[in-house]
Amino acid sequence: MLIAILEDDTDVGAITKQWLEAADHQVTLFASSAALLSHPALQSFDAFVLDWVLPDITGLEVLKLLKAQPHIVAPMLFATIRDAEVDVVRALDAGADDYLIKPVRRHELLARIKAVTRRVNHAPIGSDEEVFGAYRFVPGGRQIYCDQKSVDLTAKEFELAIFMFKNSGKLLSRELISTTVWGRPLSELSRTIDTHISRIRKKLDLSPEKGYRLQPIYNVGYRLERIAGESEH
Amino acid sequence: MRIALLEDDVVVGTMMQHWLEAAGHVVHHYVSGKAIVREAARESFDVFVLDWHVPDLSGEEVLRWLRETQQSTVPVLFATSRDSEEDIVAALQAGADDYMVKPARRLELLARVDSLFRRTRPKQNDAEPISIGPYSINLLDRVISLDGKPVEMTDKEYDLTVFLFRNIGRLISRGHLSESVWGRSSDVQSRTVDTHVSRMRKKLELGPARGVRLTPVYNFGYRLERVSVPDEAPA
Repeated sequence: MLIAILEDDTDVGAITKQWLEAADHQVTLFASSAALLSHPALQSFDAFVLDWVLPDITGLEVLKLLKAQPHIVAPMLFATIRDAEVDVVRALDAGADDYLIKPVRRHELLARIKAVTRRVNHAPIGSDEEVFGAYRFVPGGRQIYCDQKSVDLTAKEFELAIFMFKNSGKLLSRELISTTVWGRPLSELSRTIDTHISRIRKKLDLSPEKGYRLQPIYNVGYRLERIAGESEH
Repeated sequence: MRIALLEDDVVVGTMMQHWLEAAGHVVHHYVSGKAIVREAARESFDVFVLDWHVPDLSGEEVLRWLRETQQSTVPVLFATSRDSEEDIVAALQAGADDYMVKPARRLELLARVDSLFRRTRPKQNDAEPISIGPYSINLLDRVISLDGKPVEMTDKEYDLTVFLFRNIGRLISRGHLSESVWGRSSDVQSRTVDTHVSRMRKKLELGPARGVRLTPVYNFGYRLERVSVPDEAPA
């Protein structure tokens, strides 16, 4: 996952980054709220870990600003020294998904990030679902069902999958995939794309028996091909 | 919210129940793992709050059991005196959504329960109509429309409909339905619930043709779910 950390203490920031990277996450570390808020693709993060006390804008204000943007749906956790019940409550009421008191313990942090990202925010009820052959996408719940069985995907995997399905038959370049799904064209993302592709291929069992084939196109990108007989539409 | 609370310390449990009920929740308090499992096999809840050390089945075993049942996606909050990092990680990895170390603080407990519910359920805003397929529910005027035409309903049928639409996709037990529509103290029989459900289903013409189906689940309750409508777009 791509995780944003807002932490002005360089030592704490560095060690947190190191822990998360050792657990196969990618981390962008911000030392000030202004730096985080001016990031051009905040929607590309899968989770935010926010400190409360910062030199410029408080973490609570940052949380409120992020929550006010409808396209940012990633879960947000506080990691702060402020341990008063009233602070915990203020943060949670403002929309924080979890609240950890410093010093944060490594495995607890990892486990809590995992627990909150397991459940991504739901859109309002009524958002429409889409069906592609054996696959049913419920964007509101960020759920995919394959042959009626629910498949667990992370937020990014879900976005990537629905993008591929909506554009099945088309050759999708890495650049297009990364700008659409991650919000920026970054060459160092290329392995991330491949990892995500291979995960959705496995999780969704994209195979001829299911009516789909996911073709890597050397040096260009990927194409999702529908190979089933016309079952519906 | 309907909350299942597992806490074998009667004093602590009663206090937590009191806190949660004062905040408007309905709490079912159990003092043993087996008791909560027995109940959860036939009743749905919005949130489970589990202690770890309880007689017979441990909170962790209850959690593992829950994750394999029909209510596998229900949010679970651990509230326990075990504060070692290992325990916290074990519970979260087993599928708990949040973990609080006891003694739980009242407002923090309430805020964590709310946060959990928010995170796992669709947003609800009474000012906005609920709109699913051809159905639209105006919550302020208490009017349900099908294809833009209001459907005449009794108060109870209306409440039942709103509750099921708000919980679309979820398996809801008869007890849960009767508690939300008739209130906890009322002594409604499950036959009464079924009668109302069947009337509401008829009035709303729920079925695959409408893209929303109401499925009865034997010995448990109902699930309102979306089904894909066969393509017949009247262009």
